[in-house]
Amino acid sequence: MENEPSQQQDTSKKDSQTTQSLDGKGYVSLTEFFSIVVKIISVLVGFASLFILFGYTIILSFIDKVKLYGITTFPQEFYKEAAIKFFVNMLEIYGAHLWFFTVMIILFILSVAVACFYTDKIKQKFKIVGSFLGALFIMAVIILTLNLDTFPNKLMGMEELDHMFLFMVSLPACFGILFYLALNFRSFMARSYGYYYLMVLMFIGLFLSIPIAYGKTIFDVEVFSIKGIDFAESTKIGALINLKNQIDSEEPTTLFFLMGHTTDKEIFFDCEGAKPPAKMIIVERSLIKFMKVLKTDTRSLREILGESRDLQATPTTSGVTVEDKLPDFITTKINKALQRGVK
Amino acid sequence: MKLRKLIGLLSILFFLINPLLVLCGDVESTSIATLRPGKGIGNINIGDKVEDVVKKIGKKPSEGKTVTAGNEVQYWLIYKPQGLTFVFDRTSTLVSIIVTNPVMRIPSSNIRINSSSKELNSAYGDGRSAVINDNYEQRIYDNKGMNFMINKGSGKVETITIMPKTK
Repeated sequence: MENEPSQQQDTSKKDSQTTQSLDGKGYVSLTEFFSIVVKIISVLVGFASLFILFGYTIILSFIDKVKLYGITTFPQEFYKEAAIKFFVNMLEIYGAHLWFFTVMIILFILSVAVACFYTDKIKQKFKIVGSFLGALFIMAVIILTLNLDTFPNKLMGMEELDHMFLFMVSLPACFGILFYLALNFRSFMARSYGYYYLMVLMFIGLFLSIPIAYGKTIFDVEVFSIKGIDFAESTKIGALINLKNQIDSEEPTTLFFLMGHTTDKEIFFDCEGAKPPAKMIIVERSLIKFMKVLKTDTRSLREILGESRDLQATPTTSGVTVEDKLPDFITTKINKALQRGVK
Repeated sequence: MKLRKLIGLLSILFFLINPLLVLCGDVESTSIATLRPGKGIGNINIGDKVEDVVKKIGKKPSEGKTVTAGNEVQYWLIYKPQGLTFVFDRTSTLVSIIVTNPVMRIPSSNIRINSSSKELNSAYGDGRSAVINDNYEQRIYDNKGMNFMINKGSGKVETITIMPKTK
């Protein structure tokens, strides 16, 4: 209470300085200029830090998959790609549901406007909401975010419910908490209270859950099928010569793939090597002179893994014939079922 | 106040532990549609027709195959992203489901793809064994409604098949 008069004096002094600088001299004072610069730099550094943290957390969530295939090296720049992919997907989802995006924009503008002009009233509102029920709701969002696989593929004509939940519930909830924290920071500094700490923890939990969930369900290592290869002339390694012969043969018996995102070395594998324990050929990049990869056939490691397992699921006992097609009456039934589902 | 503190503490502990569990892969595996040995998977039941299965999944299969062995014909609908193959008989009735999804596990046991044959033995006993070819062995549990394809080289389960129980 004793500090209040001095604070008021400070504020009035600052106000008068600003008025003088703007009205009297017609330009911004040096102190004010540096204050603005510091604020801009802080915001930019904050965004950059969030971007890097998001990228690295996505990769962190991918570690178990990386271990699964025995790949340990990734370029340092990989986190950038992960974070960019996240934001691009977010925009795609928002773009696909314009009604939601519009509502979010309106809510955001309203929130900012209300926060700017009716701060005390908003604080009162948050005090009313500020119970453990709110925290429990956020916790439920965190748990659901980390278990996106539990969402059905399709519900009431809506698809990609897991993506929708991640970007339309988890992310806005995360920003909501951030908004709450920013709004109540002053009152927390004046009198620290437990609920604020809890919300900080909730924010950290949700902030980490989102990239973890994203990394686990969406991000994957991409692979490309190799159509032609040539090694440096000095190469006399038998395995590489065999590899070249197999890839370049007119009727290849095995398809070879190149794995993306590796440092200094190229990783090749065939369908057998796609399933753990991985059998891969790791080659120094400098040894490769030429390589032709088919981009249109870009598939994820997970998809190839699934295919190789499907092949093994096919019986190979003698006397069994397998045709890669279904009779017309089964195809008709599938199409009819899908048409009914759409209606 | 004590109750509030306790709830707060439990909440914090719970949401700190959950990400760790998910990262370890323990929670992930339980969140997929449940395998029901002898009965089906999720809401798909052995005995369903082709149209029922497709309708329940809501997606076109990635691939279809016709498998013929003597007079017996089977139609396979393969859903690659889900790691599931639905096997239908001549009358387009679902007779078994082949699971290749590495994260699904049999409830009340830790058996899943990549479990070892030893783990399988300790969970379900010896079962009935059938040799498919030089590379694979099939372990059949008629009374439980499942069979497992085991890679002889690695000694690990590569596919799980859900089928009707027989006594």
